[in-house]
Amino acid sequence: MSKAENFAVLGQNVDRFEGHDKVTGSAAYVADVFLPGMLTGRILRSPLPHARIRNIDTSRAEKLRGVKAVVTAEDTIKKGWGVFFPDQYPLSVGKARYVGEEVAAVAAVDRDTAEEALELIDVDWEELPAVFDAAEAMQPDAPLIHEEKENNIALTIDVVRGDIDAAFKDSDLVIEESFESVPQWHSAIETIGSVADYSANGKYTVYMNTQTLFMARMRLATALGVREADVRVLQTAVGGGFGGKSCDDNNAMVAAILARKARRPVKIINTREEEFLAGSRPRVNMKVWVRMGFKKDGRIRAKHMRIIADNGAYSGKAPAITGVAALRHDTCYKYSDVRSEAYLVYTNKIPTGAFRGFGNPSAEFSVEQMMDIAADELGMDPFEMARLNAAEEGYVSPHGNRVISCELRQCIDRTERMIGWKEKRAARKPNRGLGMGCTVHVSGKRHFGDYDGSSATIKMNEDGKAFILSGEGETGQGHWTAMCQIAAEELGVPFSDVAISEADTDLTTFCLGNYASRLTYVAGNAVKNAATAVKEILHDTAAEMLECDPSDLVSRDGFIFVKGAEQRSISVADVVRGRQFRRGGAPVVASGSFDADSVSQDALRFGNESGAYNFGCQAAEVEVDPDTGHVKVIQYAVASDCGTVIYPIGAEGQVEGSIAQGLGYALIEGMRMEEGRPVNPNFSDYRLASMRDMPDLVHEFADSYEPTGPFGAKGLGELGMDPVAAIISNAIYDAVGVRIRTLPITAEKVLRALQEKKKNGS
Amino acid sequence: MKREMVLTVNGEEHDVEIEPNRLLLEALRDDVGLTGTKEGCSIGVCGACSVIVDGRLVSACLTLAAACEGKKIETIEGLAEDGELHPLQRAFVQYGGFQCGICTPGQIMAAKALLDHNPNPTTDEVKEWMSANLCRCTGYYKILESVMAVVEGKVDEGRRDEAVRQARIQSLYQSDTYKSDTSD
Amino acid sequence: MRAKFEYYAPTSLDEACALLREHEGDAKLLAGGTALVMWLRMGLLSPGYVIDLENVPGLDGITYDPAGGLRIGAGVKHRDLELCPEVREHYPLLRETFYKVAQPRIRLMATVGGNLSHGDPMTDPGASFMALDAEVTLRSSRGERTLSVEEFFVDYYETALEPDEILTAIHVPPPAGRVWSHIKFTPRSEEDFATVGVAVTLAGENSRCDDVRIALNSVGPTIFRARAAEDALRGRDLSPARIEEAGAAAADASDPIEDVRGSSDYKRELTAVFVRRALEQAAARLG
Repeated sequence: MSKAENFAVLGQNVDRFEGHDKVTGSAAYVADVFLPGMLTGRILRSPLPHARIRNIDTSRAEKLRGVKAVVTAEDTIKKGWGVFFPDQYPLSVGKARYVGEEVAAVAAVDRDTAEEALELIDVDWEELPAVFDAAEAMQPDAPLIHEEKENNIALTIDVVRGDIDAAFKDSDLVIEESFESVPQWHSAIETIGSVADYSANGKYTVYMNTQTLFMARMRLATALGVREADVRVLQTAVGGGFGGKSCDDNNAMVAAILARKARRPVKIINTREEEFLAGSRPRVNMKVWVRMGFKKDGRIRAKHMRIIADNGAYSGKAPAITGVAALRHDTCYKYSDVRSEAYLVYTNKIPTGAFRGFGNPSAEFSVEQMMDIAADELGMDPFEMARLNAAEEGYVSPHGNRVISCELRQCIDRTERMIGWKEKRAARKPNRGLGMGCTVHVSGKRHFGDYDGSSATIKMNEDGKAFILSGEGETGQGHWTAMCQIAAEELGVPFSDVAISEADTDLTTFCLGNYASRLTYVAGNAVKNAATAVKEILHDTAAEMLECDPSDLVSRDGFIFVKGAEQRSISVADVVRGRQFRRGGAPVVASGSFDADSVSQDALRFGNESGAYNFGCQAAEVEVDPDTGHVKVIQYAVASDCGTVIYPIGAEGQVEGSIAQGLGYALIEGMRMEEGRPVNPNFSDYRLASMRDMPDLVHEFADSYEPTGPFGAKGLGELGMDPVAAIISNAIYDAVGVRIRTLPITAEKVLRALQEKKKNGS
Repeated sequence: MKREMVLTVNGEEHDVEIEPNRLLLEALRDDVGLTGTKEGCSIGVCGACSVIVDGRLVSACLTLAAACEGKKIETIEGLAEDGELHPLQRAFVQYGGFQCGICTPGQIMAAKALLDHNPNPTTDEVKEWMSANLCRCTGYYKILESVMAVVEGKVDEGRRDEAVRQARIQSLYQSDTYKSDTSD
Repeated sequence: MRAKFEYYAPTSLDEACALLREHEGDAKLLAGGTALVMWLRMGLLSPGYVIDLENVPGLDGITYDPAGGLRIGAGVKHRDLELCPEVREHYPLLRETFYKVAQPRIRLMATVGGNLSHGDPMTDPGASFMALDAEVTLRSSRGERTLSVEEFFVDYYETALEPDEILTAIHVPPPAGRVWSHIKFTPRSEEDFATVGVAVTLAGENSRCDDVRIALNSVGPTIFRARAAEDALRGRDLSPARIEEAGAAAADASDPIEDVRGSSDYKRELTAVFVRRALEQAAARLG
């Protein structure tokens, strides 16, 4: 439950730190970066899903007036990159493995010239057999996409906890179902882009709309064959990330390779079509088979899950995503005996990758429907069943996840009330139905190099204003604002007296960036620690100036007071100046670090993956048109446990945006693919929900406090997205008695299921 | 063949020399140097490039610059006067009507075009109109709230207490989606 | 690659016709631009000349008189038609249809003539014009001719326009007391193209159908009249069984393609559902 803290700045709806820039059009996104002499880069992409390159002739393109550089793999070090498996190249080496893969690139004085030059590049292709379905790709006769990967399998997971056979035997009810999710594209309104420059002294400077700045630098350095320090990455304003801008694509690498060859800055902005073909890496689609055993009182007794995940042609973060899908949800309910098998399989399609939820939406689409099916079979109310199984403080999942704060039951109660569950179930309307589900997510995850931390530096200006140097970067969620609030709270200065830097690998310390709902919790702790250190310096100096003991001092509203004698005070600005402008003077500056109390999972994937876990419950009311299968979402209710709410507008925005994306995933978003080629990759055919499409949404935050979080806060960004599709499916079942097991839940699928049900007379 | 022409943007005349296939979006961003107008989908669906030409809202990505000679073009850069934010801009800041901000210039120009013609739209009229502008971050709730704050004259009142605000958001969405007045 | 072209903005219809004639086959007409500019950008069209009709007088304006009906200049924007008081009063079907096209910004840009000339079977206005028995006027330097909207749509993105012709006006006969209905089924998003679109006008009394016109979009290579469905109703009582029969006949006449909005079978089945619903709605409006 919440600790009654009297906050000065936290929990206030301050004006967003970068708000004025964004409403006036002056925020500089990557497309708004113009450097002297800058060229336009365009990329030649593979038209085939799987093909060997016999030869590339660029001579005609090079001769075109206005062309300054043409590059192929011959201009690269041909060294693979990739966070888990180094199987990707900036430009195709030997063969292309999906439609859209980068094969060659041109830098020219303008776009028309660059595009004309692309048409003058002659590639001699030898088409190879291709495979597009992950289950088919595992078959022994399937064409091999990476010769060294047997059966196209990139990764296998098989985790057993407890005695699964005995647990199923001990179950009163055993159910078994198969589900399938789809790739979902991030569809940020801004596509991926970069501006790269290469200086005579051998240093690359790259402006990127990345959400993981230092990761971007690491991968650029690897692919370019230089040291990290030879690459400077600057984050521009980012027009939407959601995982899609976490640098598993080649855009910036190609720009850097062109810039080096042309010796001029090169800008490459993906077109919308390119963004669908080879830009942001869509959500990993998974076929999920689940078997679950229950006691007749509704308790979960056993779970066995088998996942076949579609990696696409290369491995970005899909290996980690598959692991999350296999294990994460076991932190939501109390489990003892579970088995999770997963196969990540290469196919000749766009590589899949990180998208808000990171594997969890596929898992929750499956397991939250299993819970609903079980409740139905057992004649239980789904809310009762959720309450019975809900994780609580002190729960340790079978995989070692240790739950410190947990208000899942509170969220369940709130959601039940908000959606009007009991009242509506007592007065049912035809073709209307209700569904619910629970969700869990992390606050950061120990993935990379046994580090789940962050760092920040705060320097005080002579005018008393604090400046945070942080390399985490803002992706739109309001992170900068929340960090300024945390620093202001800890320093005891007004919000307006804190500013935060843009992320720049040369000027800020190493930061992991925007993923795993980690910033408020992990970076927030680092910023708070930096502020604590700065406050100590301020108090030491103030104590000298006020002739008192530092431990007698408190900070508030930009002033430092002597406790109990508050007429004895001094402004922060005077303290900073006092420390700087004297013999032996020094700036007021300090760094703070934080590394979460998580551990790297061991070889058996056991280990507490995150410092804190976030929980939630959601419910939906839908109406189904039985003649057409059309599903209309009438109302949606969300309760979220994210600990202390630092920046309410930002937190609400995360919930609202998550639900919008979740509803899109559930009902709307699907790409038709023909032979691995997206059909009509544009916003006319790949629809996003509009304002009119959104349902009435009610949401609340649980009273909650995470002891290890900054002022009690933990993560939130992905939590809301995860269970939406299952909840919609559950509500459809409640409305018309058909269960849809594949995404998206189109009207056509619902109608077909209704017809099937009628035919079977059930 | 490039042609010389004058584009009048936010009351200022700009001499530009452009190819006939130049889009208004490109002319604004690359030739005039006003980058507040954004490119999103390139096919008129998303509204990120919304600008007002002779009083009408248009997609700058589907408008030839050559066709805009002699017309009055309004972009996001022209909204604030002497550094004083337009009420819509203040509302978007106060009510959190954006996150990443890439669609925001288009959202604000769309809302301005609506309010220029109809200063007192109903909630349903606002929803129908603003549905032409996609946003991937917000789920639209706070965009609607921001625009309605201007309609209802609530800008600068600050955000009221949470219960009042939640009740209002719900009332915005509980009203049925706009039904045409000619349908039954 | 984006097309490169010369741009003309003629100031009279004769000048526009002459330019079109001069560059026959190598020129495209620009009106609102929502379709043409997109196609130019995508390189789907690469004309040498683009002729902008915006400054051509006589292509604007909506005029109504009870005897002659409605004349809509080809350059009228969707939004202006939607908001026109005479249209709202006398042609509620048009008002309803145009209100549902895409979204307001596209409706502010796109012209009525441009929409029809594009020949896109997925758009909504053509079906309602057909249900209202509208005609189009086509002009060239060779003269002027008039075609029914039904004759105007020839095939997938193909109209009866000759390369030197300009669609200048749409004429809709007086409403003559017919009732109407319109359904646009967009299960994914309100702003989407129709999965199925149905426009109906109906003359009759007390559930007797004297005459009916049923037009469909998004379910065939062109927008089309479901004539067999009409025949099943004309001169008969609008009983549930007949309406059902008409729906089935319309579905038989449909030839939808499979796309992201659904399989061809699904769209065909829904054609039956929505023709039935549209007829029920129209019948309910009969005096």
